[in-house]
Amino acid sequence: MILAILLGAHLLISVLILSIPNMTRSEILFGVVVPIDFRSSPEGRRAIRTYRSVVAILAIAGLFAIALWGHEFLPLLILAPMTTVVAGLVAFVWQNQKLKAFAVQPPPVRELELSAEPERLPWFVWLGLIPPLILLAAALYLHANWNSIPPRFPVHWGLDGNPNRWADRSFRGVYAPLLIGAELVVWLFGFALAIWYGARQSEPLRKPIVGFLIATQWFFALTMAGISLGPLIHLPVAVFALSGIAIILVPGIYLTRKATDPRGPVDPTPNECWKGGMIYNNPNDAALFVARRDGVGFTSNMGNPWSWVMLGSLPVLVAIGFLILL
Amino acid sequence: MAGAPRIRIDLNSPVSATRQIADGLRVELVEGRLKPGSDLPSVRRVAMELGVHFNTVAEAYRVLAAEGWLDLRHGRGARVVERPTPATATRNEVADYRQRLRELISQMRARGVSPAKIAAELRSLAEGLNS
Repeated sequence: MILAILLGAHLLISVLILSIPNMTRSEILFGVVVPIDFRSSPEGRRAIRTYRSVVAILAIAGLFAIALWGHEFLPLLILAPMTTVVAGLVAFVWQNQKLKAFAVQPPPVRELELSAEPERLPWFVWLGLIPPLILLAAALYLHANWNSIPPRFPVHWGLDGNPNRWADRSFRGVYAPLLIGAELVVWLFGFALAIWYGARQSEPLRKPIVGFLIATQWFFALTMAGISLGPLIHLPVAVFALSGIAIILVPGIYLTRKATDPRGPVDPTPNECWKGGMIYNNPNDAALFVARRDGVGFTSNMGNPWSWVMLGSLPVLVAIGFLILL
Repeated sequence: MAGAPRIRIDLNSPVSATRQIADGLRVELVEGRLKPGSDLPSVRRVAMELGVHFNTVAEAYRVLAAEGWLDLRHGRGARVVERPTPATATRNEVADYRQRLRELISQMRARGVSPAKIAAELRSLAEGLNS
C-alpha cells in the first residue's frame, strides 16, 4: 500500500516535470521568447522531444527502481523523484541554451494609463488575518484544558496513518505545532502582500496567486491547530492530507490555465536578463516579482535588493522552526 | 481631448527613458489632460508598470517639478499644480526649439512624410494646445 502511494507520488512528480513545456504561453519555450509558431517548427519539436525523452527515461528508471528495491533501500523513495527533478532542470537549461538562437525580443514599447486611483487590496487578503487567530484560539483551548492532555501523545503520522513521532506534555511539546504554524502563516501573509505590491498590475496571475497564498495560510493554520488539538480532540489525519492535495491541485489547474491563456499580456522582460530561463536579474526593472518562464507563478527579480531580503527570510524561517522543535 | 492620460516609452529609443517619461507627461500637462489638482501615480507604480528603475521615474518627476508643473511633497506623491505663465522665451531658447523642430521635420521628410502633411500636423497640434 505504502509502495503504491510512493509510486503514485513519483509518477505525479514525473508528469509535472514532463508538462513544464506546456505550462507557459506558446511564445515562451524553455524560458526563451520565441516566434508564436515556433513550437510546431522542426527545431521547436526537437527541443520538446529531447527534453521529454531525458525526463521520461529517468522517470521510468526511477519507477522500476522504487518497485523493485523501494522496500529494501528506503532512500530510493526520495532519490528517484529527486533524480527526475534534477534531470528536468538540466534538460530545461540545455534546451534554453539551444533555443537562444531563435529568441525574439519582447516589444520595446510600454504604455501606462496615468490613473492615480489608489489600488485596493482584494477583499480576501483580509481573510489572511484570521489564521493567526485560529492558532491563538487553539492555544487558549489547550491552556484551558492543560490537565486533560495525556502525558505522552502522537504529533506526526506516517503514510500508513500510524503515529511515528511522540511528544510530552510540556510547553514545547504542546505548543510547538502552533508556534511553527504561526511563523508560517505570518510569513505567507507577508509574502502575499509582497506579491501584491511587488508584481506589475498587468500580470494576470497576481490576484489568483495572492488568493492561493491566503488559502495555503488557512490550510497550515487549520492543520497545525488540528495537530496541536490532537491529544484532546481526535481529528482524522486523512482530512488534512486530502485538503492539502485539494489546495495544490485545484488552484494549480486554474493557475496553469490562466498562465497559458494566449489573451494575456506579452512577457515584457528582456531575454538577456534571464539566466537559464529560470532566474531573472534586472536591476533596471522596479518589479520585485515577474511571471516565471519555467512554469506557473512568479519568480523574484534578483536585481532588486528586496528579493535578497525575501530569500534571506527563508533560512531564518527554517532556523526558527528548528529552534522551536529542538 | 478625450481619453485618459497615458504615457508611452520605447526602450529601444536612443532617447533616455527619463526624457521620454518627462516629455510624455509634459504633453499631457500642456494639452490639459492632466489638470491642476490631479495626482500622478506613485514613482513605484510608474516604474514597475513601465519596467524601469525607480530613479528613472523620480528624475522625470523632478524635471517637471523644476519646470513648475508638479508639487513633490514627501509622502504625498506628485500633484499637478497651477503653473504661472512663464515669461516669453528668450531668442536663444526660440533658436534652440527651432533647431529641434528642424531635426524632427527632417526625420519626418526622410521617412517620406510630405511637407503638406507635416504642416497640417503642426497646425493641428498647435491648435490643440490653444483649445
